[in-house]
Amino acid sequence: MNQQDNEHDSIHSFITLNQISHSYAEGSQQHRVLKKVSLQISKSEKVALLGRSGSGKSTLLNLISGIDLPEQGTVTLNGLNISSLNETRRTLFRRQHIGFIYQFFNLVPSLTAVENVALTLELNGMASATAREKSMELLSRLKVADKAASFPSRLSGGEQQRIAIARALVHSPDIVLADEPTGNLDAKTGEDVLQVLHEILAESKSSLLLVTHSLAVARTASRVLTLENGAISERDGDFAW
Amino acid sequence: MTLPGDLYEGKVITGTGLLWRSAMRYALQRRWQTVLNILGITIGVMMVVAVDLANNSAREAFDKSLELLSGQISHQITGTSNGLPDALFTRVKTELGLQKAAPSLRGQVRVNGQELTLLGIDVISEAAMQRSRPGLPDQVFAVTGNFIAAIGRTHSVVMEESLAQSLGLTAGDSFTLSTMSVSHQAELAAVFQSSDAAVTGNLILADIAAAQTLLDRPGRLDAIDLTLDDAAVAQLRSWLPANLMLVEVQGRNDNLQQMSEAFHINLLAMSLLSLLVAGLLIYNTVTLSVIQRKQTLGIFRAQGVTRQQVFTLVILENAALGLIASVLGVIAGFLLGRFLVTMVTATVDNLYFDLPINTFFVDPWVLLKGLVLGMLLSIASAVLPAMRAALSRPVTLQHQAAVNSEWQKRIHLLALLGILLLLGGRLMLVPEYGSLVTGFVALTLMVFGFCLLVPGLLYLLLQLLLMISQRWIGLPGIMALRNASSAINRTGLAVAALCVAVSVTVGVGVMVGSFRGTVIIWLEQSLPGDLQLTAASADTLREGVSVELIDELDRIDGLKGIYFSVLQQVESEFGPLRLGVNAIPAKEKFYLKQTIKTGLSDFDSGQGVFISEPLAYLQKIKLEDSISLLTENGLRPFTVKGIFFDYSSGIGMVQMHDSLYEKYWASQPHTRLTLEVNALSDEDAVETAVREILSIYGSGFNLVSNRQLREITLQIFDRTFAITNVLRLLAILVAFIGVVSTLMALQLERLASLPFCVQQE
Repeated sequence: MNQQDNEHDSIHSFITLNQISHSYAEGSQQHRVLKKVSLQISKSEKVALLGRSGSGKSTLLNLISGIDLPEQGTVTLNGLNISSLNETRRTLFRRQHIGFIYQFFNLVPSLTAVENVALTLELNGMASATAREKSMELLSRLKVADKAASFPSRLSGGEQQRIAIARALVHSPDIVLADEPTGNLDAKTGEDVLQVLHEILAESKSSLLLVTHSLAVARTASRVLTLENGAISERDGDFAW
Repeated sequence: MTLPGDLYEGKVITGTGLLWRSAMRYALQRRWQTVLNILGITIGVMMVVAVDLANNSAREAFDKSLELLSGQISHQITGTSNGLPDALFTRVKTELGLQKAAPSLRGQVRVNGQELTLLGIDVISEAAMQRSRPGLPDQVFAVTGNFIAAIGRTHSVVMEESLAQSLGLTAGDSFTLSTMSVSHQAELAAVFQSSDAAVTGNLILADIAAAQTLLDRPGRLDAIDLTLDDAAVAQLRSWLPANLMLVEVQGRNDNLQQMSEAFHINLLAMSLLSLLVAGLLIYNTVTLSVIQRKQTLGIFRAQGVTRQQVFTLVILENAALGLIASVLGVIAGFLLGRFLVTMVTATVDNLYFDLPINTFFVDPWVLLKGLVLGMLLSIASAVLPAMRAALSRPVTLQHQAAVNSEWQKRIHLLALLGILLLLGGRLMLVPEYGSLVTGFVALTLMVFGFCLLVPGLLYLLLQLLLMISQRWIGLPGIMALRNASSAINRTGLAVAALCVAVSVTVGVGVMVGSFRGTVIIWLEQSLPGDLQLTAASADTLREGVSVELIDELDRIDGLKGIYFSVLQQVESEFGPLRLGVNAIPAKEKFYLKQTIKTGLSDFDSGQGVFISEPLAYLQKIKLEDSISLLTENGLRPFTVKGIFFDYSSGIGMVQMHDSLYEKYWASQPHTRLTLEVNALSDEDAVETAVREILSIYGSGFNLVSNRQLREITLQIFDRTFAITNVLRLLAILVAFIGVVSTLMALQLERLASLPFCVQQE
């Protein structure tokens, strides 16, 4: 993909990664995990990203969310160049436009389920009572309203991941970044959680970038990409992993 | 998309309610760690507040004692140790026409087992002086017929109402009033109500004539108090006989206060050192809590919590804990202060100045200062860990390996900084620059330098241990050592704090122990002979020891030698000093710090004097300098030939040979004798023989054995340093709390990783 094509696509795409390169240090060795990667995701598009461990999938999520800055290239969201923002603005951008779902849930252990969800809203300036009310609505839809006052340590894996989904979506972000959302759940629970995620996403306009190494999980997305040797390629039709 | 500047305006500090709640729940979950943390700060603040209150109370007692005893006057006429004749007062008023003048006489008395100060006043002169004294209402001095009638009788006294109650006395009662030498029947003529009972609670007032009788000092005054303008000062100076001195009161009082200031600074430094230990522990605990919460902080950062919010959160958490701990510390300090003030006042009383007042003075600023200091310390100690939490990016907050490697990189830098601080501290200790404050700054630099070296030393030690012992200790041993090594970022400072506390405790212990040893040597040398005979009555003081008595004593079997000696107060250019005189050769008597080559022979031949170390240090007097003392012929310079260690008095001491004393104080009678017992004779038998002879001469003498004096001195010494024992114990307690807190945190972390270990098995 040349520079001109990228500029043309970025006008139509919602999220654009343009010629991204990135590496990380392990001891004295530098590992280049992304080599001039380019990618476009449209608004409300559900994209799955397949890749082996250490292939750079999580690094890509960190770059899109502004947690890390690319060594080369740019990341734009709806025309805004994230790479050009300073640290505080990137944090505030993440607060409003990004939703995270992690493999290990990453709920705050000292907040109850409803507080974990409401935190994002309160950070975005919503009044405490309103944030709680809105969070409760979402928890009801995710069928975990009865767990609202429980701390994460008292919840099962499936319940924790539902709370995490509610937290990721409660503020209607532009994109949800899900890193192996079913990786720590049994097959049945994983399926349920995935179904709930897609149901809620179908009603919102949020895009989804779902990182996984499960083909079954990847197939639930509308587009499937693979990340191998630092480069992204598109998979059409049946594919094996 | 909206521009970030517009979009995020005003949203940086939102959502703090839930962040705060999360932090508080974390503190409650780790409640024992939180309690220990609070306890560490509480004790630190408590020590500072208690010592500050005790020091302030002692200073206040000092100021009020001076004010109570002399009031607001500008000058005093003082004489030799025997005071001055009361006829001089009449001459000052009649010949010079000085109306603002009043006689002054005071002494220590005992009533119903209670030590009190008897102050003699001349009511008419006091009315003319119009000086106010704390606690004493104006009507005490008002020239009213009733009052003059009340205290005008020979043995009449007045006292404050609550003091009379505590002694079980009412107006009109008779009671026994004793001094060191005599007892009299006194009558409580009237009681008065004091505006400050704490100040007047140990005071008895009597007419000057009654005081002279009760104190067994007929016709004598301590001083004449004056309020003078410049012209009157000049006039008085030219009029005064040479053996009397006109001293400026403020300067003299400042001098006295300055002498006890070093003692107060010492106490303050010790309490601040404890606060420093507490600060290190807070830093350690906050660092631990940041490391323990790295996962949570990482989630917060990913969710959009800004660095500023994370920083503020960590700081606010510690400010809240600091506030609770500081409030508790101030309350505990207030209670401990009550206890310490007795010890501090007793020390000032023993070493520097007789304090008739022993009051617990609570300055609200001291309490506020303790509160602010505790808060500031809590916040300041949390700044670095808070920055560490805030400045790390979310993604790195979740990588323990990164934290450790980062810390290990810093160990070298910390060690280098530590060495620099140690060197800086050492350089500041070069004696030429020596002052108390420089000394404490140097000490603080060295303590900090040492703290910074500890993690590096600990790391090296553990690596060395691992290298040497890994063949024998097996896998569990190797794991334990590696765990200890990787936990240095958490334990390093707790170990450093413990090192500081233990070294301070051991150091102060060694210092006090060595000081005690020095005092024992000094006692051996400065109390020559075995028995001290001192005049105890006015007659003996006036006439001295008779030749007949000396002849009688000389005939006692087992008595090796008899020497005259003098121990009195003398006025000097630096205010009142103690003067010691006897004829014993200098080499047998002094524990010298410095002397010129011919110092000992010069002293024995009366060519100069020796001065005490505190006097030389405070007044910056060097060998061969001269010091002016008030002799019978006026102020005379004496060359300093040596400086000796002296622990008998903080106000400074001058020693001279009997031959020199005879030259300048020829009319002063000898009122002390030193008796030396043969080494092979029974000291008790000799003492009994001396007492038998003294009984023939009435009650004019006191006999004290040096053995007894040594015991009393060491008792006073131990009482003086009891306060340092309390502070040392508290410092070690703070450090101990820190170590327990750190170990508890590590244990909790281990417990968190335990399920994983079990799974692996």
